[in-house]
Amino acid sequence: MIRLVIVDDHEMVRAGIAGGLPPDIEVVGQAADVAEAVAVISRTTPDVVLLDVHLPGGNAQAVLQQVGGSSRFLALSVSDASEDVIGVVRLGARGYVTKDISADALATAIRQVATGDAVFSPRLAGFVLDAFTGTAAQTDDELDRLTARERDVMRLIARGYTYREAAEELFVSVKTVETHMSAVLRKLQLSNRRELARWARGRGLD
Amino acid sequence: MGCVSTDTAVPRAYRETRGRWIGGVAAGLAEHLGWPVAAVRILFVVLALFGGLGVVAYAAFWAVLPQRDADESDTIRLLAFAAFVVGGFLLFPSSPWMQIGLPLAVVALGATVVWTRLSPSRRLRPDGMQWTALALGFLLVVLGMGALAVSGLGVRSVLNALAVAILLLVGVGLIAMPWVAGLYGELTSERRQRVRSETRAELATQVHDSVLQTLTLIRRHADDPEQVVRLARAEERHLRSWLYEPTGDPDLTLSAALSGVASRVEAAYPVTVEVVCVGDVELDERGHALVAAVGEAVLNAAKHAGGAVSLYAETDTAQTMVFIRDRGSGFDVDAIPADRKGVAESMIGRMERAGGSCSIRGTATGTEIRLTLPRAA
Repeated sequence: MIRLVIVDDHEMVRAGIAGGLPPDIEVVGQAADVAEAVAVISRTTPDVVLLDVHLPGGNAQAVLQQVGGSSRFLALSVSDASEDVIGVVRLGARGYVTKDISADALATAIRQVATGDAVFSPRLAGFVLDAFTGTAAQTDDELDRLTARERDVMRLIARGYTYREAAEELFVSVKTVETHMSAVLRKLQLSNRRELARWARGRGLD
Repeated sequence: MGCVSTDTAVPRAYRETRGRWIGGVAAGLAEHLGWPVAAVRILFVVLALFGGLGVVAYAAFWAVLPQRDADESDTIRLLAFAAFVVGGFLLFPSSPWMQIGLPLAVVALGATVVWTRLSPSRRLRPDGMQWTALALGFLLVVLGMGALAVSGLGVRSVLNALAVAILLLVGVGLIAMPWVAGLYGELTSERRQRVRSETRAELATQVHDSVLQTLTLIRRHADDPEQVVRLARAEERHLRSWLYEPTGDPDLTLSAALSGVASRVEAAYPVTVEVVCVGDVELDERGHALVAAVGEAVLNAAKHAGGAVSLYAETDTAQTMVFIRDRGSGFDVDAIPADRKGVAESMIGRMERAGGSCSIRGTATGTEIRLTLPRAA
């Protein structure tokens, strides 16, 4: 059983998400703004927090900054604007999905985040490739580079492959693909590459 | 040679760039006056023998006369001007004329610097260099005025006058303060209001042109869920691109063109096309061929597979690769419908004519088309 908190300022959205979840995911709390979210998460310590990127009273980033603990975060966004998404991922979200995601796909994503895996949408994978390809390819810091294999995985995700399909394509196990994804997520969070740092700086996150 | 130039109402003297020896002053003057160049040059040399007068005069003309095909920087003219001032000072070290003339010249030099920096044709947001030049100009003007005042009135009375002037300024400032502040506040609030109303007008146009229209259409098609989904999706994409994406010309860059392809197909078929672009490239003729092939591939996927179509484009220094993936039933080469085969052949032909390639791969979970176009050498 996965214990879930939904943070979104639209009640309709929260209700829609909660109604479409399978029985192994239990909604233990809901919140509509930053202060509520911080309170509910601290009180219920859920396994996963589904966190809307845009919230009244500050953004999702404010929640991530104020909440410690063991909860894992999955960012939920209506926008594809990469700076919104990168901001929350760099502050610790384990992945990002858009609001038009199907109920099944959302449940899969929540389960993945609960077990500590990363969740990449095709667009986020494309962004990662873009940011890590750049001109300054010659860098010594391994945090600023993707390995050839990580790049392959990112490409397949960007091409619309599921993890399982990507694993088959590369003749590796799903577990290996998930390991690569987590490594990329870690680099995304820790790298100081110019492209990433610029967004972070622009939003007062560094 | 040499006739007075008559091409303008007031004949102007220029420094000549052709046939010049130093700065083109002599040649320009000769042209203007209708004298032989040699005569003008001899005159300057003779004058130069009188304590350097000719040299100073030459410098003065250099500073004052514009070059005929102006490609000379301001700096050189200012240097010439400075040479004229210093030379004049050296020529007449103690003459009463210099007591007035030198400060006046300094003031003029400073003013020239300031004016050339602040001319309206330049952007009024000076950079570091500009600021230095401006400060220097102001300093020169102030020094020159000060020297002028001191030479006429003596140090003590100048200081007294300065004190009075400052007091006067402070007094006027105190009186005018509320008025100036109010004016400034009014100006900024007016500007802010204008920006806001412009934004609102733009938003209203956008909302009216697309959102309201689409809502009307959706209400009319309420009994046709497929149509409603398609309308909502198209409107969403439209609004999203307006809100979040820089407006790109679909004829110019690959990413903009692919977004355009996706919107068109989404508008015509009940599918969603997710576009992901890594890197971008300006479109040339071959690029347009690639976009056309992508269009066929996406349309094909929408017709025969439906659902979700992934469109991924990656451009690096060597080539552009585009993947179009659908989740239709597996691709059995023998079982391809005739029209689908035709489309495939047309795509392959198109890519090969453009110097690229096209491959089609069927898997258990769908079909993926890969288009490759090497960058032009």
